[in-house]
Amino acid sequence: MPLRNLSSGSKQLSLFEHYINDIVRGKWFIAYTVLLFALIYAVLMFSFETSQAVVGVMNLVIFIVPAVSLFFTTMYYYSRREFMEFILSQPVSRTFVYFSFYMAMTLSLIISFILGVSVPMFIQGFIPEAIKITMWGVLLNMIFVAISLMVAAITDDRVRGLGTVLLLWFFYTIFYDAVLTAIIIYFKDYPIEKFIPFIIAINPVDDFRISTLLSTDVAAMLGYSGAVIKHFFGRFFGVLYVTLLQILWIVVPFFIGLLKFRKKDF
Amino acid sequence: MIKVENLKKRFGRLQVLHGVTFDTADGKCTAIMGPNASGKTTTIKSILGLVVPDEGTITVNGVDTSKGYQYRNLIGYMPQIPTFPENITPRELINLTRRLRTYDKDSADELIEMFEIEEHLDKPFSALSGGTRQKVNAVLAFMFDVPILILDEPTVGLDPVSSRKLKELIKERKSRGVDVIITSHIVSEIEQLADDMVFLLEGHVVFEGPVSEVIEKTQGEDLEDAIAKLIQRQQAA
Repeated sequence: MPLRNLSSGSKQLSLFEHYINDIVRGKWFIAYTVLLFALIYAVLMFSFETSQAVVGVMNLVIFIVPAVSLFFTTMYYYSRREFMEFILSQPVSRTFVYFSFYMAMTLSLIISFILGVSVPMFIQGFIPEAIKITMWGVLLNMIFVAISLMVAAITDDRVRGLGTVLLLWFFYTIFYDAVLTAIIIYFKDYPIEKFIPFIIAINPVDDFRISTLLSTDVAAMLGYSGAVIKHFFGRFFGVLYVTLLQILWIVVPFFIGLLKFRKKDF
Repeated sequence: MIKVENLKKRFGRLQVLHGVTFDTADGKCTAIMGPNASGKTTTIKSILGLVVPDEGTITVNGVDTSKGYQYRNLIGYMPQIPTFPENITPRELINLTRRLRTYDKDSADELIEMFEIEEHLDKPFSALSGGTRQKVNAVLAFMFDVPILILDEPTVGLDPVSSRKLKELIKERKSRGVDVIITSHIVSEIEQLADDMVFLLEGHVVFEGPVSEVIEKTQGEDLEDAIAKLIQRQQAA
């Protein structure tokens, strides 16, 4: 009988460790962390009050974090696709490989986020805000890693995969605001605020923005959708609602990607 | 022993395998041969669970491969020209593989010595030549005492000395009762190593039996000639 049999948990940990080691040794990981730190630090240096600091950091995070999570996860997945064949030829389950990959990518990006965003905020004395932004930032990273891993699991074509995440990023960070503004102007005579809780569900970036601003109480900067959410649910339930939406944005793409990955031909 | 029954696989519009059936025996080397795009890699990947078949069953030592992944503890796999992550080292990869498997003991150290790759163990793969990478690939496949070995073009990229060592290793494992499955385009290699042959053509098995029989049946001068005749006959039919 075999003498050496690691439990499934230990196997999971070893694969997770392998991916983490592989990711954090990459030059992009260090470059991203340093760049994020420098940008956030610069923004905070020119912020003279808390609301200014929160909005400045939030806008940078909205612009950078989804892009980096989407592109790095997709590129890393494609660069390791052939090696994944080797891993899957070992006695490991596909669910276990997918989960290890997801967790390693997420944790690496969260480490970057903490070093690049939370640490400069702590240094500059924005401690309560740093804790809240870190909390929402963790969710934001988890969401976009789940989305990009789903895209990568669905399409084997690297160009198509990267094109899809580029479009998603463009939609979430730029196009969505334009569409929302157009809807508000076009339907200004109708009670469209009733539909806002549903409309914001389609954009996790907006959910991050609303949860950050509601929780840090920089309500003046909430914008239309955030103001409606605050009016509809109140501050506490507003935060709860957008948090639930963000959890759904992690769970749904994660499981769609996992189902696809389990049936995939390598 | 591997038993493949009525294996069918379609990729989009292309039917790659049309009911492939064959089996392999312990202590024998079975060559899976065929021209490019005949379905060799898809067959091997189906056995390893990398490709999910549309129909058919595969059993490895009596275990249905669709029922789980533990059966892969029984298999050592040497992929064709593997792409290992550039920034990790052979030592890290060997250790990772150890941690992913259930086994009694491993012979990685003996194999490292045999292929003379000690000095490369702590260099990243980006600094290793194709031949050295292939030697690491061989170590990973042969390091566990498994009853089944699947080798996809195992000697590609190896120098003659290492290629010879690998062939000796295959023969030694075969003599210990290991079921070896090999794909190769090098006919002389098949002549040296294989006892049986499964010949695939456009996803159909057109020959299954001892290597000597294919020469007899086709009245070929040698194995290369026999294979050429086998392909011509099927194309004419």
